[in-house]
Amino acid sequence: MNSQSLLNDPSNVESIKRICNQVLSDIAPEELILVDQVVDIFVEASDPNGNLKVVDSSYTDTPLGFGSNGELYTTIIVPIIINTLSKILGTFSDVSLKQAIDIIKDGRDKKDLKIEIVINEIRQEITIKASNSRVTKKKSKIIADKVLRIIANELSK
Amino acid sequence: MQTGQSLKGQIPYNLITTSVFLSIVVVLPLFLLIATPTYVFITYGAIPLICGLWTFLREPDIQIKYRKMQPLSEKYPSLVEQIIGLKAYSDLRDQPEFLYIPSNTAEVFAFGTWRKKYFAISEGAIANSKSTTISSVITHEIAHLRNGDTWKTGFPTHFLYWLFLMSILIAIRSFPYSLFFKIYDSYRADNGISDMVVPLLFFILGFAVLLATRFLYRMKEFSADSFAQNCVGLTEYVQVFLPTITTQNQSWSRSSFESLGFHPSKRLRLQILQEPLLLVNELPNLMFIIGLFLGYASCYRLDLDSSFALAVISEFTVGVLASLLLQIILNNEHIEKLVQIKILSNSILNMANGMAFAFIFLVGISNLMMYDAIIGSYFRRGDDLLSALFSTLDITLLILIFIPALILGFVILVRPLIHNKILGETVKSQILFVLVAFLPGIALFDFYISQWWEGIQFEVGKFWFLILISGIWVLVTIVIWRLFAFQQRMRKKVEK
Repeated sequence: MNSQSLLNDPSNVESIKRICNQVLSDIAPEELILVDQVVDIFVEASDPNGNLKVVDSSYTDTPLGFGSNGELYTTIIVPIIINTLSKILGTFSDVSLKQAIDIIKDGRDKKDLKIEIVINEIRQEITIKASNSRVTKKKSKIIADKVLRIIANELSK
Repeated sequence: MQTGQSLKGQIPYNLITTSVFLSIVVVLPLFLLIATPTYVFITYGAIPLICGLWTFLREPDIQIKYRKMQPLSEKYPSLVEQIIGLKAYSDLRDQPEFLYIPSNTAEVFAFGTWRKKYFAISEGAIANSKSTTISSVITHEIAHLRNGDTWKTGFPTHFLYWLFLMSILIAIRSFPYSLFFKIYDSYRADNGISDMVVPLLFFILGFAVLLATRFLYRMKEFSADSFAQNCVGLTEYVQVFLPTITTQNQSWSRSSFESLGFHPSKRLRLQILQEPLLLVNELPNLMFIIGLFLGYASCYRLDLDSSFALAVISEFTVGVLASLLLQIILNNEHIEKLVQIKILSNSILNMANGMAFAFIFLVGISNLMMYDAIIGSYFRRGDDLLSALFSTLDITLLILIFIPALILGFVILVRPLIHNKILGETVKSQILFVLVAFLPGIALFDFYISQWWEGIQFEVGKFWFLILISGIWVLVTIVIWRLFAFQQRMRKKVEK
């Protein structure tokens, strides 16, 4: 499943908003006021191929002007969540999805190493995407774990 | 605890910004005038102040001319009407001139001086923003005009540039004297001084001014945010922080230099908009600046040898005090007050850190000199009226003749390099290259003239040696520049 087909269903968009709100309530509660709108912006911006366009700051940071210094966590987290969700739903079938959710929630599952490897790859991908000049690797690992766990909780409902 | 709404009206933003502004442009030069001899005041107080004022007053005209700004009413009359219709605008005492910038970059800003104020908006901002967002941003800019932020931050910024420039120029002037030509050997032997110490001393003062200016920039943003939020409402105003969608990647230079920007981050601004009490987190920054100024000022009247002891004592005393306070609070189980106490003790500790920083810096260089000696050695001509006049002339000459001549020389020199794209493609990169590569040239020119000026016969061999060193430095800089450009290209390739 690509991002576009995921975002076509309004109920999925609502799930994404719920996941984003949960993730950001721990990481950056001050941004909760903007989360739903940022998700909507990404939904509008995704092209038919499922690519999410890069988000940039609105105004240039000139000394006297309306500066937009730094990036919001929301603009980093939202595309990560959309991509991760579409990847999980696209990779796992109904049976393996349940196992994947269990692995994410409860840790290592000795029965199916393949699923665990895929989840670790997804976790690694989130960590790389989340880390930038302001988010340390350690913090991005915590973000990756949190994102996966909240997605697993949402999918298990 | 007070709610954010009730606290908002109580934060005396204007009082804070005006006090910091006055401390930079009035108290600092006054301190130099009172605490130091005339030469130091002229070089590091009067000249940066006058030149800063001059460039500050000239800046609006230069901006308008070089950015090709036009009257906004000719391009977007409806937008002008929209601005005039805003509630915030109707309360504005001095009405600004509206300008349009023909640029696709989204820019909205207020600028100007005490006499004339301007408001500029770019094509990119008009094209890419919603009407409501534009109104919020304009209200934010109107707040800057109301609060006088254009001059409160503009003037200190120019003063700061000139203060650093003077320090660099004097350091470069002193460099050949200090390291290559021991002209004042006897003087140095008597006093144990190094000619470089005065500009080094003023670098730390410049550092304090830099921090104070940064603090001003941050406060003015919080203040304008608070005003705009009161005018348009929180939910409406926070829309200005929403991202826009673009297909372009962020440029390396922008993302890297953002962290050096004076604007507070979006995240912090959102935090303070929703909980103004968090503004107290800025207090430690202010206290560090105060500590730096206090340490610097007191060192001027103290025996520098005792400065290290003072640094240790100040840190120790404040440390003990802060931990005692924490102890009392923890014992009484007033956990809810812990955050406030933490900020308070942080502030006190930061002030002590500032003082200690100033003390330790001065102790470090006090090994090279004595207070009276550096002043006497500054222009190496003694301490009387004639030498004061002489040094004033010297500096004036440096600014009016040598520097323009050097800039002209640079332009002639670097034109072929720019033409062949050796120095990079952006103007910023070219200017940076010129500064890094050719600054040693200033030393040579100035040295040559100073030798002749003072009637001292200079040694041709040493002169050529310096030219050789400068030439090698230019070559090394070119190589480094090319390596950086290569690295940047590779980075872009990898990103693609």
